[in-house]
Amino acid sequence: MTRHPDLLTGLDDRETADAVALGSPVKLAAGEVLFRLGAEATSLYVIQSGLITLAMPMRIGGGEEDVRIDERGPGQTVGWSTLIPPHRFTLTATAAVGTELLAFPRSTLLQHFERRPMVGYAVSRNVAALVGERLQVFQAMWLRAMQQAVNAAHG
Amino acid sequence: MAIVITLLSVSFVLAVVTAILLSAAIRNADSSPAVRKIPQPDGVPRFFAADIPVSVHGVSASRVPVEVLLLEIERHVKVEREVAEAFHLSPNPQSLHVQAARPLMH
Repeated sequence: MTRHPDLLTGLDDRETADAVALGSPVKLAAGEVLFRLGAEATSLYVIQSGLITLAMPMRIGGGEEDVRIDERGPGQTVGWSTLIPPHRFTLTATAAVGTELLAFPRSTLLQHFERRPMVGYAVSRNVAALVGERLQVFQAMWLRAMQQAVNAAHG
Repeated sequence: MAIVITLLSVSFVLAVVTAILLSAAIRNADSSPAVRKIPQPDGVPRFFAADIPVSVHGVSASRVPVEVLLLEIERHVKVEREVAEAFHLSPNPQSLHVQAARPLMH
């Protein structure tokens, strides 16, 4: 692990090592899809190396194109829908380059949290921070898009 | 003589009536707000309303290759996301409305 995972912020070295040991390595070639929007979210991923792009579909010229809206690099987490109902991915994640990740199945994580509630608490706080940031950033982007629409319509 | 005066009077009255009607019509046309088409959601959940006409550097979207348009959209999203992240770190009206990316809609 090249960077301390943001998912495990607040855990000491031993707790971090124990949690990391729960993950299974996943290797993706450039262009390979990690998960697709709408698919059932069963695993959370921590990026070890490489780059994951997150995209949403947009209708352009009669077709549908995935538009890249975010990128995640080493130490960062993707797929937190695994822990948040209704457990469906809301973005499509693709490896921009050769990428290595650790996959954490939901059932494995929840069992670990039952045994180690303080770890579950720390991870829940970190996931809340990720979700909160995403919410606030996209809320601001939405409002700015609305402002542009209003400006275009009414000057 | 009486006929001539009658004809002149009728002509004058018709001219006045025509002028009044014409000015009223012009006034109505000026006061009618221009009808602007506001894009309506079609029920399909998506982040951007792609049916909004998009232009790249003043060229209609229909004439821009999709790859170029995608790059332009992604550049726009990247800049907008950076502004939104700055707002997230320091939320205030100024940082929310700072001028950044050129709007995609024209």
